[in-house]
Amino acid sequence: MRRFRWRAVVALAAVVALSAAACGGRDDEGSKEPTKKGAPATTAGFDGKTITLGVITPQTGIASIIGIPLTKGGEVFFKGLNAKGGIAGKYPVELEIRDSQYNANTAQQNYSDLRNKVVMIEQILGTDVTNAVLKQMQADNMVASPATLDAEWVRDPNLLPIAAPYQIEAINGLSYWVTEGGGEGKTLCALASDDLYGEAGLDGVEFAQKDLDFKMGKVVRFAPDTSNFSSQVQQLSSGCDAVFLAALPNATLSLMGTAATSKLDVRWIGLAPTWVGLLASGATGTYLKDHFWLAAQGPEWGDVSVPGMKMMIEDQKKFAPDQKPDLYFAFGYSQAFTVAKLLEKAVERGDLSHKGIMDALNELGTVDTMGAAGSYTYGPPEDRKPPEETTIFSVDPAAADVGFLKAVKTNYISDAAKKFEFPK
Amino acid sequence: MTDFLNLLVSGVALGAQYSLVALGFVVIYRATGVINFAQGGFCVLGAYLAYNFHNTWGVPFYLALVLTALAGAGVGALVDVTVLRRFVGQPPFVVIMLTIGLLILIEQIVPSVWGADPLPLGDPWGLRTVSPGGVDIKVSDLWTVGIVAVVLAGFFAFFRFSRMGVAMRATAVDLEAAMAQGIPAHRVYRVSWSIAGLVAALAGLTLAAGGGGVRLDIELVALTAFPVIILGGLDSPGGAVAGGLLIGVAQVMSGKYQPEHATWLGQGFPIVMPYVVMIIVLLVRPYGLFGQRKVRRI
Amino acid sequence: MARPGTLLVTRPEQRLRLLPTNWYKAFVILLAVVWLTVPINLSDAWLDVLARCGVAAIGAIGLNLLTGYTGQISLAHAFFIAIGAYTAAWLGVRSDLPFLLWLPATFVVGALVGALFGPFALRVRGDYLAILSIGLLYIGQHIFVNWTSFTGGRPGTSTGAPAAIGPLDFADLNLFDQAYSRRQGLFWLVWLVVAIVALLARNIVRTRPGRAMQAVRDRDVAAEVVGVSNARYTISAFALSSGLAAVAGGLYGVVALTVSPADFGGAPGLLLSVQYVAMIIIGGIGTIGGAVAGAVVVVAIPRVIEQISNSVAIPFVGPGEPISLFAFNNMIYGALVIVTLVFEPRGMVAGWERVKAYWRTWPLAD
Repeated sequence: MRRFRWRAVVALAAVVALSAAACGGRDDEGSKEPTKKGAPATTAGFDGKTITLGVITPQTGIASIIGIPLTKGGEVFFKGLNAKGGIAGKYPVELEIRDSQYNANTAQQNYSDLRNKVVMIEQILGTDVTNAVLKQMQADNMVASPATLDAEWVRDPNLLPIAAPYQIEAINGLSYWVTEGGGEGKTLCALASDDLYGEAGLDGVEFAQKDLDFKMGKVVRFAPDTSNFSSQVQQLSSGCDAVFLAALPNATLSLMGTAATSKLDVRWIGLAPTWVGLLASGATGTYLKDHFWLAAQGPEWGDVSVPGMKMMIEDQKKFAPDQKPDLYFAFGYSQAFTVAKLLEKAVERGDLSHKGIMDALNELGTVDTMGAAGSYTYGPPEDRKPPEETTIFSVDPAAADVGFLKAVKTNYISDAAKKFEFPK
Repeated sequence: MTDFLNLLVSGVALGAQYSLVALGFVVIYRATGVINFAQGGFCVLGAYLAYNFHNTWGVPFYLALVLTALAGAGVGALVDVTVLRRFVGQPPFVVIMLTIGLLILIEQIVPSVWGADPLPLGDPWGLRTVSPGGVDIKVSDLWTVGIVAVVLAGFFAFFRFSRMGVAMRATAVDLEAAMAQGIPAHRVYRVSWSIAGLVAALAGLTLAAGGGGVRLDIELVALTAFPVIILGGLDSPGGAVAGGLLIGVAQVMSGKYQPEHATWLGQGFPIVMPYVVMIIVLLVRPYGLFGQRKVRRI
Repeated sequence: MARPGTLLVTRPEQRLRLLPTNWYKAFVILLAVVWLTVPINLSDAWLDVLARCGVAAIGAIGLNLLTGYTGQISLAHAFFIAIGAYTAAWLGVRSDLPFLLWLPATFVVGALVGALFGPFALRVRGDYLAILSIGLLYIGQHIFVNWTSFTGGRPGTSTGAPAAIGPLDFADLNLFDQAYSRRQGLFWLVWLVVAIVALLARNIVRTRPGRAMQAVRDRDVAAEVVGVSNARYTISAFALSSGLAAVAGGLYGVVALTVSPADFGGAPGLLLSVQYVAMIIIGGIGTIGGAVAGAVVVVAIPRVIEQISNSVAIPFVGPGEPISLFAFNNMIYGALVIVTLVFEPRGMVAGWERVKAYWRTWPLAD
């Protein structure tokens, strides 16, 4: 008897709750279709006045070396823009920053938190992190601007990458070495981290090999968390005139210490993410001065002959006077610049919904960063074309005012890079 | 041959760094039966303290080294007095969790104080090398090996001859029996945490020296030290050093020879290698090479 | 019929009942109502957090069976979660099996792999086992990266396996002409599985196998003497715990849509495993309810802290101040772990028991 009653209670509760449930459904699509042309309708992340953008980036932990200046660059750009009224002169921009801790799992939760609060993701850092949220973004029609230079991003309808991908950086770097750095007919070795980033770099090396006159030597891969490079340096100590390097700052620090002590006499050609300012200090700096070139995007810090750099320095002096010269800061600034162009397009189309931004991206055309990070052609995914310019930097331990990086050749486009096709 | 010797030397140097980190684990494990997950955090803190003494306050480097060691000991003692002493007699599991909480705190305090960018330690060793018989040896590596030797000798003398050392050995064998003999368990714990802090600070300093830089990812070395402590035996200081050297040399050697001779093991095998060695050793000797067998009672 | 109060336990069966008192029954009904109504009242963002809590709860129940009841310490839980996620991708996505097939199959695969690891625990004990299991994480990372046909290598693999039970597709729910979002549906699905797993686990621990496991935990040699096979129960516990971890992994894949070695291998894997240990310790070791409560707290607290600190001004914290907001959030999290353990080393469930005992005996005891 008692048993029966207790079941009845459960059944009753279930019915009550289910009928309550029946009134609480909601659709996955967060936003409504635009009503009239001109003023965009309010939608997730846009209340009619302010546009809110999301940022998913490491603000704590080891990767915050990159995440913090990168985010700062974006913030400074939008402060400058808001001072002029904002997007299209009337909609100021706010950033909702979430700390991904460079962890795929946390980033997914950051994304879930942001997806109904923002118009788009202004910056997301990390190949793994971006991959982890990409599927969810596709379900939501969300657009994000990744802060890594992977070639897979080029044709992704949900992504707004900027600057030349790693492949192009590699080709330009090697091209410069062969044509102007005395590398003709010499032997190139490669040292690449064993991940997607290293693979992208080696892709570029492989392409350059077909087009340029150099011999290919050893290719050494290392696990991304390697902290002792003595065996790798020893493998490279014979039969290499130059070494192509795809590594992250932590690895480069250990690596260059070992290379310098072993007096490894080669020409290093590194991709942008190999660099960190500390490399220029002490004995490592002296070694790098003679042996290292960095192939990265953008002009030398403070080179005001480039309009994009001039604009950034003006904003930086006004809004972040303490900021030290930093490649990642400049990257974040250029990224925000490009995002603003996309938002302007969306405002012009009168639709700031997630779907509206994706459509705007398909119609965006070419964004010219005024020399700061090249001209990127957007539009339908199959027509997208990344810029081809790369700046070759050398290391100058005395030049703190330019972040120890002197441009050897600004915005260099090699013939080989022009021939590189991104798979459709 | 020179190649091989060069690799051997750098393997020994790497192993010496592992040993220093592992010694910190061992001291605490011997006294309290706890695996201290915050050890990596203590190392980072040590490196940044060394930076402060030498660069910010301009203390001469070798004096800064001593001060760093003392400050590390102070940090260990402070942690014991403020938090850990409430947990004497609690199951080790709870204390392990507590050390994880501590690690999270240290990971945030350090960049809040010093920033996230890597900093130069400015040690006089730098990238200098000496080359006896054509083998290049970094001066900083020589110092690391020297510090390990001194610490190990200190351990031996301390546990053998000092009253406190003997008391610590007694507590390690049987806490209750030791307390019944009038050994102050609280003091034993505090000294253990101080020694662990001291060793960790020295480890952090040597990791930052020689061009490595004072940086947040120094703490990751503690992860590599896990196979080292197990290999030697969780409660054996000598084992920590032996295990460190073994893993250090094996890792460097496999970095060179595995890609040449055993490609079938896959990319990035040298990172996994310490764990493979660890599992094989544990299956043969379940308490490590020098660990004490536990008596199982009914 | 007058019944003796719950304070007086005269027969052992009273302790072993599934629902010992009417209060328990009422509590279960309350939970059912909460389960049904929460998705209506909470935003999708919080439902996502809670679905992840549910996934973690399943894994934590598994770990608790191993650590809390059988006394084996393992930090390889993330490895078994990965096995589950990859198996679900293989069976559910690439072979397109229905939910009711791929989920149990994921359990079986996880349990088999766990059973293979079990014998190690017979040879290597205690803290040595804990660190041995870290080795499994790194070797796992190596396998996940290199075995690309099964795992998709570094970029990972897509894991949106089907989530339909009969006509009810939880990923795209339509009930009584009402459409529900994916996150609403997944909340119902995940917590339904949590309830089933909790019931199974509770039935295991209150019957013979559970008592045998506890005997192995408390006095393994003595248990062997009275006829409880140490090997059998240790290996079973490993199989059961890894099987549940695999179920959690499979469901994690459904929630996350994609997984890669960056989720489970090496250092991120260790972080995840440590979080699971934190769940059972903070919740209360050796209790099913504790595992669930701990999972909810450990997964959700960082998000709660984030929300609160975003809306409150705190001195010395924020842009331009010495401590960044993000660092502060993590500090609070670390401090909460420490403070919880200082006040209640045996976890939240022990704290709850203390409160209950106080009111039950009030005003007789203090």
